[in-house]
Amino acid sequence: MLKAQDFTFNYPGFKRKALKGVSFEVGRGEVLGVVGPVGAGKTTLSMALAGFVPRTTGGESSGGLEVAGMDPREVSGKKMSRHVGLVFENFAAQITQVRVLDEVMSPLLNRGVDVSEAEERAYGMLKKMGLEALNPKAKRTWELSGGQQQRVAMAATLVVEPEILILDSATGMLDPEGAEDVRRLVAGLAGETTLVVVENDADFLLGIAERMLVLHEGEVAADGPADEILRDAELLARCGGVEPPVALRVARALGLEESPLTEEEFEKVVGQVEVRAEEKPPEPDEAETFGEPLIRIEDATYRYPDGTAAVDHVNIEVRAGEIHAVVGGNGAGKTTLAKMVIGLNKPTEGRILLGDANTHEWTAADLAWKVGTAFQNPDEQISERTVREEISFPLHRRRYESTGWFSKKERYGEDYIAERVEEACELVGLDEKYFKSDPSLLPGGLRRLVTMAEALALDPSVVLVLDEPRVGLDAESRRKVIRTIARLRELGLAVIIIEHDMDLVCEVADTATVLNGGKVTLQGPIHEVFAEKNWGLLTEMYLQPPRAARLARSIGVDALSAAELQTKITAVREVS
Amino acid sequence: MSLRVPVLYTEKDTFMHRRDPRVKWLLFFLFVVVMYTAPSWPWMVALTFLGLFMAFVGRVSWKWLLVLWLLQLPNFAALVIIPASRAFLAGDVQPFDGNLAFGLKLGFAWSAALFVSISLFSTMDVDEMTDGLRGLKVPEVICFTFGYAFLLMYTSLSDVFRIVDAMTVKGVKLKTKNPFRLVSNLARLMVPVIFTIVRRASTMMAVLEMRGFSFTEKPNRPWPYRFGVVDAAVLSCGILVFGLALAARVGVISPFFG
Repeated sequence: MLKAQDFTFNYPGFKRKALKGVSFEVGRGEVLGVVGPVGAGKTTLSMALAGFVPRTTGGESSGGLEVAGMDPREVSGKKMSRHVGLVFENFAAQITQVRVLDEVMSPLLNRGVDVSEAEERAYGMLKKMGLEALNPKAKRTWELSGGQQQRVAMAATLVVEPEILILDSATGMLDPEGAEDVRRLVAGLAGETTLVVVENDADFLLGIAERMLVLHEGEVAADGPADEILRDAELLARCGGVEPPVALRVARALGLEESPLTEEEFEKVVGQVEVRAEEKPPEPDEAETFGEPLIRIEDATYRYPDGTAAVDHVNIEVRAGEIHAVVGGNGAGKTTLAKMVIGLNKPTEGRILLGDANTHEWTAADLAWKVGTAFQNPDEQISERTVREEISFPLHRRRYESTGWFSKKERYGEDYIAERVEEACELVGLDEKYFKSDPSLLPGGLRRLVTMAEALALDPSVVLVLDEPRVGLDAESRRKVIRTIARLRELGLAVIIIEHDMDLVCEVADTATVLNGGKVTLQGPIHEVFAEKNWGLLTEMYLQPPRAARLARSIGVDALSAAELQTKITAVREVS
Repeated sequence: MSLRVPVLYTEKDTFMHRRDPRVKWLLFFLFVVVMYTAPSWPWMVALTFLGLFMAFVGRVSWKWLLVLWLLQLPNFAALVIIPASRAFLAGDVQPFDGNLAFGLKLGFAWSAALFVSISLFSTMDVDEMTDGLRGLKVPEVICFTFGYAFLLMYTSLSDVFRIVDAMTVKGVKLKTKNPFRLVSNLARLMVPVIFTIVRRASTMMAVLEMRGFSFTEKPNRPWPYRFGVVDAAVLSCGILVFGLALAARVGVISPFFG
């Protein structure tokens, strides 16, 4: 169904080839998983298979490419679109209609399907994607959250039932239950639809991908059965920019030779488990662990002009040295809450206190001195020509204090700015070699680190808000983000992270608030919030317990992260 | 979630909303012709009142109308007050004649154009507008481009608002009394705005193609046209007004309509 033979492509104006001699074959109904670090050529390959590269991008290609018996370079886009559906990573760019229902109906109407049938099928698909409660007939597409937009884009692609479906990192913005829905959907389509799933989450691919393609710098680093490649932790780490499945990571950390992938395999390999009672970490006294409260959100509510409450009477307190995660399904009010914390939205009721100061009268620019922010999409934040200029920008903007109509006072000099830039870069692990690079042209993971360094450059003494810090990052960048968060804790900052990746949350956060419909549903230390008794409730709120926790439960251990699981168990190899 | 994107369409169920989009487009085109055909400023005053009446029937927000009209006020003042004051200073006061009459005609024409077009276009959503054009046999390439321009404007505005938020946090103030600083700060927005739009452009074109949109082929219409007796009557009224304006222009009836 899909065949590439020594396929090479380079974009116009670029010397480096985006794809070099790529060869592989995928049979009808097979599921191919594609992994690789940022810049490996995954999106280019997806677009080439769908016929957009080089037709819409320009550039030169060579070698063979066959999709559903056609060479996508030689047939019209219209013909390709009858066979291939592609869901992109960029959710906002996939919106083509004003209303949600029209977005899903339009591909059917454009293919000559009767209006009433199109409406019925669109509603059915929206229901499958968990969007039926949105009032799709009236809801405007740009009023949706990022995750909801991604679900709509997926529904609009799936509704025409393409023969070949390509998902290009399509689950990054989805809440865990949404990602699991997509996983189930893919599993259901396998056998009938040929699927190419580009994903850097190895656990997501587990059980659904039959074959795997590892791309590295535009070349095929490995091609083979998914089961084999996913067990090769070294290959994934070296070439794939992918964290191995959690079971394999824990097994490796325990020094086991076997390479388990699933809970069942892990249980079998570990065999007997001893909980190291003496190593079980004592429950910390929170009052002693953390410092004084740095930020307090008191009964905060935010209503849209039409009266809808996006955030409804929320109370959160974050103390010095505390990492607090705000989690919830798509559209739960997380980003709106973050905007209130950084002063972009003023609470319509309640208040937000930094120390003892009410921030209601502060502007967002004033608040940035104390509250650093790295937004969900770094592209919306980057405005300067070099990385150094970008990171120092907030400092340059605030260098002088106005003291009158024609007078100003210098707050700090160039030396201080240079020092702060270096410290911030060191903190996030951004190499100096990028200082002269254009930040807009850097890979996604590095752009994310640039905006994190920029947020830290002002030396926010109170709090840092990170909105979906993991989206679009490969394994290496993810590790850097985790390291940065840990160092911020050591420095005594209060950090608020908004995240869909429950494994990351449990790895870095101390406390959590679960939002649902703008209201607090669960709150407390991470072990309480993600305790097994709450798993049912979490699933109802489109969240899921972390994979490491599920793995731990399978062997009767209570742990939330892979690191915790490691410390709690001793594997005793079964002696045959 | 963002509810900040201002949308031209107001979702209501009024006499104006219920009219066939093709009729609204025809009324709009007729209105443009009448503007050029009508011979004198009292015609424009009448059209202004007609526009206000239509806005009232279509329950257009009076705040919107006022804001948009106030934006036109400097033009109106320049067109009416300057010729009037010149005439007054020269001691040659001839109300409603010469330059002043021209100024009044232009000034009221602008007001009429604003009220009538807002009344017509705020009662059709983007799809209805595009659909109306298709119903009038306008080439698909124009219909598609017209509809898509609106959508791009709305989605780009949504992007711009998010970028403004990010830049505000960085220290770029867009609420400043200093006009030079405002211009310089607005220029700062351009880089992320352009990059965001360029980055999404290729994806967006690919998505459109994949969803089966075409510059040349008409899509299946989601709504049936609803041309009825009332639409015919409304259109007849528009044609009658045009006929009267034409008659006044060629001197069959008094140019003043008075």
